[in-house]
Amino acid sequence: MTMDVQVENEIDPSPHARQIFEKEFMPHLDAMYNFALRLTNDEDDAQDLVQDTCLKAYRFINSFEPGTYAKAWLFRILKNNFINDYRKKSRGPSKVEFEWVEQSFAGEDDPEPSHQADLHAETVNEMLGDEITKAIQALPVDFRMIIILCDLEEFSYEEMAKILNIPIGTVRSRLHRARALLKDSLATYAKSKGYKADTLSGND
Amino acid sequence: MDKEASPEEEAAFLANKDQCIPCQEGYELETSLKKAIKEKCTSKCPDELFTRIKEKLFLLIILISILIPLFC
Repeated sequence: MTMDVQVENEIDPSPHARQIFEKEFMPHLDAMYNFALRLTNDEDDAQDLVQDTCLKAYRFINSFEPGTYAKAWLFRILKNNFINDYRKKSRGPSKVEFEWVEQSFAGEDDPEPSHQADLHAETVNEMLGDEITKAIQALPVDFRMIIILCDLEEFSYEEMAKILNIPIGTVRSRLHRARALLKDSLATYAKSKGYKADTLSGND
Repeated sequence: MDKEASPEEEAAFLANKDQCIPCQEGYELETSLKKAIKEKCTSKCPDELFTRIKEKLFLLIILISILIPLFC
């Protein structure tokens, strides 16, 4: 009970806090849910993660500086929440068709994946969202995060460095590696499904 | 592509790109992939989650408003 009261005393019930929450935080709910869904690979876990993040954001609302980028602040809380509470229980990626991503991944210093030359812009344009989503979900979580933050949410490198708590140089190298893995995965998938077979080089 | 290059770097890249087929193909592929992710991989937050968060927060605020005077 003492603990509960201590925690609750940290929460600001003022109309001003509620106004900040409604005005600054709630507009980013779709983006937060999308990020949470890509991290957890599960709709229920994603909903719980977003809810926990919102309640945590409200709890620490006094440390938010109005006028600063609320979305980056919220994403940092969400990422920390995921690492601390959800990572262990989150469902693994779909492993039926994209397990080569896991197999090919060993570390950030690995040589470049081998299939990139086999993927063409037209092939990517033809692919369905579901196919690209599955390939992203099959990436190791650190790579998945950076792809979503950069390509989907369009955060700057500096913002991503703050959200992920890594140096900006690591943002660059991790993003490069993540894109290489994603292209490799999509190239292998495209080849197996017969996408634009005439444009594929056929190298293995 | 990520809008992180300086104007000079961008100009140098664009000038070089037109004379380098692998650079062009690589740029087109990366751009297509970025565009495909942006356009095809978004999910909307369920309405019930939006409602649930607002309800939880409202209850929490009511609870705190009642509890704080009791312990101060």
